[in-house]
Amino acid sequence: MNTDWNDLIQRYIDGQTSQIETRRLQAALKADDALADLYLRHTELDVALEAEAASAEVTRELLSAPMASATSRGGHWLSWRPLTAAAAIVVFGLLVFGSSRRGVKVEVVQTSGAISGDWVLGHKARLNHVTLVRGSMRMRLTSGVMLDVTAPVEMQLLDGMHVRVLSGRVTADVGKNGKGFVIETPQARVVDLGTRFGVDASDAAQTSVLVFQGQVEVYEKGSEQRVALLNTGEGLRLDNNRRASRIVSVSGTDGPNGWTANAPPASSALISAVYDSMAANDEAAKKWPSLRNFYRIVPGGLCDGALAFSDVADEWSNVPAHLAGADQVRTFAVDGFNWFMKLTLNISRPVELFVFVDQRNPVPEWVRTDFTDSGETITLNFKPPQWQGRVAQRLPYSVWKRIVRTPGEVTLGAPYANPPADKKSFNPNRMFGVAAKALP
Amino acid sequence: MPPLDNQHHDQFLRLFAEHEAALHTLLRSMLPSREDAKEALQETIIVLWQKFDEFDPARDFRAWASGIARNKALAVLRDRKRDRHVFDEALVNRLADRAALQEQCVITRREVLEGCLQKLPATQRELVLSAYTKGTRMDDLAARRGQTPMSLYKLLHRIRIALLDCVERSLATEEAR
Repeated sequence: MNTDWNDLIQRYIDGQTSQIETRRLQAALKADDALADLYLRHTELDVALEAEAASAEVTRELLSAPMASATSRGGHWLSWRPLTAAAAIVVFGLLVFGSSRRGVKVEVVQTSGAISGDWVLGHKARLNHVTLVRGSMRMRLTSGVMLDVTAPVEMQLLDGMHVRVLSGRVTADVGKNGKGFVIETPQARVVDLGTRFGVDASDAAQTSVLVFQGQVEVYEKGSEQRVALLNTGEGLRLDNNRRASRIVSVSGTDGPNGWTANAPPASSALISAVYDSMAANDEAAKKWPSLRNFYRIVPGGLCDGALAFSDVADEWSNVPAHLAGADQVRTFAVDGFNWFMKLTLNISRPVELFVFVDQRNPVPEWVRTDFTDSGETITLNFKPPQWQGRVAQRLPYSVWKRIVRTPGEVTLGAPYANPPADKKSFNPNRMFGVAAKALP
Repeated sequence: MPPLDNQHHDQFLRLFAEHEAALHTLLRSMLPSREDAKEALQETIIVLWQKFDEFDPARDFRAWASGIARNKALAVLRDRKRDRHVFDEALVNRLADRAALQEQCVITRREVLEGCLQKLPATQRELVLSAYTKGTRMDDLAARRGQTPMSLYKLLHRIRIALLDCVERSLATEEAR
């Protein structure tokens, strides 16, 4: 009988041989060293292809390593034994699978407190696949691109300029040399044009893209069709049905990856949501299909030097002492909507609500009606792009206040009552600022 | 007992990372399925770490780790001794002995394999990697491709043989230089 040994071996390692075939192969392998070597080549190929297919011959599992806090290995480790095999891997903090593909050189430059074990910091490795189970970290790729990743996240590093986020939230700071950096998600391909931007693929059905500084192009996954060109302070969601929609508000701090577009702010946040009249309902949204600006809710974020708006570099300074640490809403500064829009805040607990109004312009009627002038001022450090980070003007804003005792929606009006006949008289045409302090 | 510190941890990780591929391949050569091999590898990792205090750095880590991996694999096989679809212990030990003689080559072979994969036509490369992706069912993959499972199996078999041939040829060329 002329046996195809390759076929028989392959079927054995695939678990497809009958008892008779298994016995026949066994006898042959015992009798023939060359055949035994062929068998070993097949098993070797099987392991290697599995590793290649997973794109994970170097896999890192970073976690708050139990060993870092353990005082004795035995007891602590034994407690992990009932875990599944996969979880047992995580115990080690770092494991390397396979080693055929070399991976992308990365350096871990910052970790959150949740990832204990100093060994993570400064660690350099070649990685293809990153799975972060707990905590946050900042990693530098060979291209100089910095990635902030927050667990749970899973991504593939295709090369120093190309990352595939399978799930989770990642912020990229591409620096000067990273133009052209690409993040892929299940729904989108985001091409950086020199910027800091975030991608959230935590929800399997959609991807959120937010630009914190600079500009990105967003494409549908697998298509050359550009969905949008997003600038600072703009974002969009792209779902599995290729529908793009505006992200109206984002919450979280300015810390690494401190933002979220898919979850409500922390339960302690005084303002839980913000939306404007252009996003009040589907009809309104249809009227403004190109509007991509987002509001940013920053719990505890008001302080000297805090960004005032989501889309420009202006900052607040001379913050009154009692307002330091107030929850802040960064509105956006674009001027096309300032005379007719309405802004609705969802207040989650009794607060003192503040709005900051440019003193050079008439005070809007709704401010006069619903708020009281506190007599205080806050300064807007006006930093137009052409001044490249320097302050062009220091503009006094009046602080108006109002007590909101009943949680619920509070609607604010437009910064200006009428369309400006002469835009110059409203220069710089910024929106108002918003802050809230909890009532004692 | 050495202190449980980062240096100790790093030392273990470095050694394990260096030899993991060979250990995985050893276990795969001894065990009848990928799942068995993976599970045995993970159990091996735990034992290696638990016993790492006893490891003498002057010794060969791979030999020490291979011994532990081998015992794990044999324990799995003993649980399956009634299974007539699995090789007997004598053959498995023989295969492990031969694998130990050749394990220095595992990394080299993997590097060569990577080059061979790149030489495959893109459609074949994608197919074989799809077939090896975790969770892929052959019948589903065949259905998606409009093939019968048998014709898919034959195609995959041809690709694997081509890869094995490519690795052998490449290694022979290297040796001839």
